[in-house]
Amino acid sequence: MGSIKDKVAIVGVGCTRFGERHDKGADGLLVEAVDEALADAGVDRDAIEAAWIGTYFPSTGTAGVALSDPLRLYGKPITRVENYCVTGMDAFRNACFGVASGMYDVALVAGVEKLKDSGDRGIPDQGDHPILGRGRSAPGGFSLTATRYLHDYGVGREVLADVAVKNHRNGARHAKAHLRVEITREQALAAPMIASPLGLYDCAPTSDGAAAIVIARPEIARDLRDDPVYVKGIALDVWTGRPYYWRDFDYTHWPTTRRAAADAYAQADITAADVDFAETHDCFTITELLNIEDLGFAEPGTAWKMVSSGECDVDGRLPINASGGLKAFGHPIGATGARMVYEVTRQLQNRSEGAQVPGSPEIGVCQNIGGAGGNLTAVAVLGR
Amino acid sequence: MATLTGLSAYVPQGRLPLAGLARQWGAGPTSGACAVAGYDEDALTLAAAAADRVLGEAPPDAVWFASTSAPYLEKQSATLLAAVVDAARDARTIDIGASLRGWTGALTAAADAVAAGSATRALVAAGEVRPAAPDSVEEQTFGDAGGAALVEAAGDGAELMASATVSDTTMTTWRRATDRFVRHGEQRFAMRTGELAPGLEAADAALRRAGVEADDLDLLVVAASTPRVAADLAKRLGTGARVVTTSDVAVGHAGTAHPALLLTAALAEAAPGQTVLLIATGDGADAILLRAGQPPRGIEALAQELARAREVSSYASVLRRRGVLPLETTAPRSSPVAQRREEGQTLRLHAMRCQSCGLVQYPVTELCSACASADVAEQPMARTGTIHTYTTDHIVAGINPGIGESPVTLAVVDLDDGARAFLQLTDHPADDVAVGDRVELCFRLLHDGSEYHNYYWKARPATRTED
Repeated sequence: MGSIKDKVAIVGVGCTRFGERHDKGADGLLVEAVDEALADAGVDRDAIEAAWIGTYFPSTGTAGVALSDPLRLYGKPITRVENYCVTGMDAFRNACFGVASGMYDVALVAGVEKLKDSGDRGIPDQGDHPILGRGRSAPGGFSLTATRYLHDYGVGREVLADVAVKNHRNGARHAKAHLRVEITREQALAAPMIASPLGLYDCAPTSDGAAAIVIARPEIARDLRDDPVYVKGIALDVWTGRPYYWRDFDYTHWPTTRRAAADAYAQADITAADVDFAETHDCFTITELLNIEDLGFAEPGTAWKMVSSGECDVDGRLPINASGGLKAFGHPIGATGARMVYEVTRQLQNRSEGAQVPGSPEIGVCQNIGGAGGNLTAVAVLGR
Repeated sequence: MATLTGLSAYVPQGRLPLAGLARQWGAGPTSGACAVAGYDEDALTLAAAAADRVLGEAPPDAVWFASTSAPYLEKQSATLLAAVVDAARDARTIDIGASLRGWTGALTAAADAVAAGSATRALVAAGEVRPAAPDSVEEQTFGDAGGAALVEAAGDGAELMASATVSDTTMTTWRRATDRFVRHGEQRFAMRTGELAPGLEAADAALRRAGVEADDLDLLVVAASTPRVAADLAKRLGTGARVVTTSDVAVGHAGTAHPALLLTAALAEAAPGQTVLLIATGDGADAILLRAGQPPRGIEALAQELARAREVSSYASVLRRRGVLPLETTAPRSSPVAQRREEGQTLRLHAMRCQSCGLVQYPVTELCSACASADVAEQPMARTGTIHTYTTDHIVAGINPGIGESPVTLAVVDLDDGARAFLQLTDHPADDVAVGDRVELCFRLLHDGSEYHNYYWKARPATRTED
């Protein structure tokens, strides 16, 4: 298998404020994010040769027209991507191949989700099987992992609360985050139970938002800006949609993350030790703990020690989710992966709108999982 | 003649205390309790729970289902029950409705079929979720239960010696096709004319046919509207037999399942060789004379189920289960086509075994999950297992319609045959679940998507003693 290393440059990024965006529909959010990314890249819409749009819910948008109409960008190849919560990252991944192949000089990636117009809590039923696995919810699915993690490693809900406290602290400092309020461990532990052992503060919010990325061939990237960020590795690993039927699935790690990380690190020719900071999927607090371990940053059963001791704080040894993560920045599903690329890019350029990771970091990782059992994982390594 | 080689009764664990009812309505008895079906139980699932206990390895070749509260007015419950117990497609299936002596009638018919050789293993089940109006006598005296017997020509169990039946038109209790709740007439008249008199006639006839004197009876089991009928019957028969009746099992009158419930309680204590007379009233009376032998299969289950009794969370929850309180729900969309296609893994609870690598897995899919071989075959899945992990979900019922009562506990269960299933947990106290808990699978009503009953299996804390 090959490597994408240094074959694609990120030349512009944009992101809307996440949250209850009752002021705009999906189209308005897309225009907002794309305009920011184009301005950041210093190119206009005519420069876009191809585009990929990520949306999870059909209600947010289906087919390439979900992007062509809002942008009035007609006559271009535009592909809609859906891959659970990896949707935005996978749109980026496919766009990267379009540029790396030499087919396109400049391509656009956009992700968007409109969840707050419906009034629903959580993620509604998506026409799942009427009998098998009936009763599943997103928090319920991840709680199965939390129950087993706490059981096997003999730790309590405090270790989950510490993830929430950290990410709320980071999110409170980011101008575009959904939840900009700090919380205490006591608040987290006392909050209503959602799906045991996950309480309210263990859960990311459902959000409205969009993010966009302009990518270009490295040969022209320097003409557009002085500090392009390069894709060093990008990998996707798809396992099963029904992990709960797998007898050997232990519910304390996600094989997809381990495999995708190994693939992406190999492309980038790095090890986990070379990573300076990461935006990891933290739809629920337990998700971040497993991802820290599966990305190779901690031994199994020890990620909670890293978080609780402050090692994953913005000024810690390995900052995790300096943006606030899904937990505090928000989780508009189709936008989340693109938002991670936006955040890691700006961190690498020392211009985060939130808490800047100190020391001019050189390697940042974005990691996205889809499905409540690590059903699929995407890992991207970005660097200067 | 024929032998009851299996006999069992199932009582749902919910209890509605009469003291609670008295508080609600300002009057009524203040001691005792009625058994009420859970939100995911109906007459069919109650019968299935009892049937599961009386069957050994081999499925029945005839299935009778008796109930006055069958889940369908048009569509046979016995056919569904036959699938649940994994019977062959050529098993005889018959529903019997309307009469409180439906189960005893089916039992004698099954005995005749076995004696005639047209059936060899006849499952005779009853299930009842009794429709009682709020603030009524029925609400204080009715209970929900299931019962089942397995009838074979011979074997360990209780031998059927003789039976007799008497029909009588007295308006004791009734429910017109348009009525929601059971009605009753003048009760002292109904007891005297509609229960006591036909009960005596049927008892006399059965004893006469077997050449047994009332004096020789060891146990008199009476499924009647009140304990008073049982006492009067014993007195008029002139027997000193121990009487087992409604007041001996704190469940309430469980309709067609009531004779099965009381007979199970009686035979659980009977010594081999003892003579037992069962009288069930309703549109007259049936009398069945039995001689106790070795305990029929499943007889011990009733005591295990009764030990699980616990008070319902609220009277409102009972009213909601009974459909008295309107509940606005939209069930998920189901497919009758997929329901039939997937009957093996849903109703019959089949797992899949890869013929190539041997892995036992669930659900049933096209290709083996381990080796992708297409050489796969269905087989019955183990019905006991261990919880690998679980969650109690407080929001799913609000997000996904038709799930049932909140919170919903879901468990990843490692079955004892190697398959892993992902099931809702039921019949457990809210916070009393742990990794490693032993569970058993039970057949329940999941939801009413696409306007039909979508049944499936759930897990519940293990009752059965480990072999």
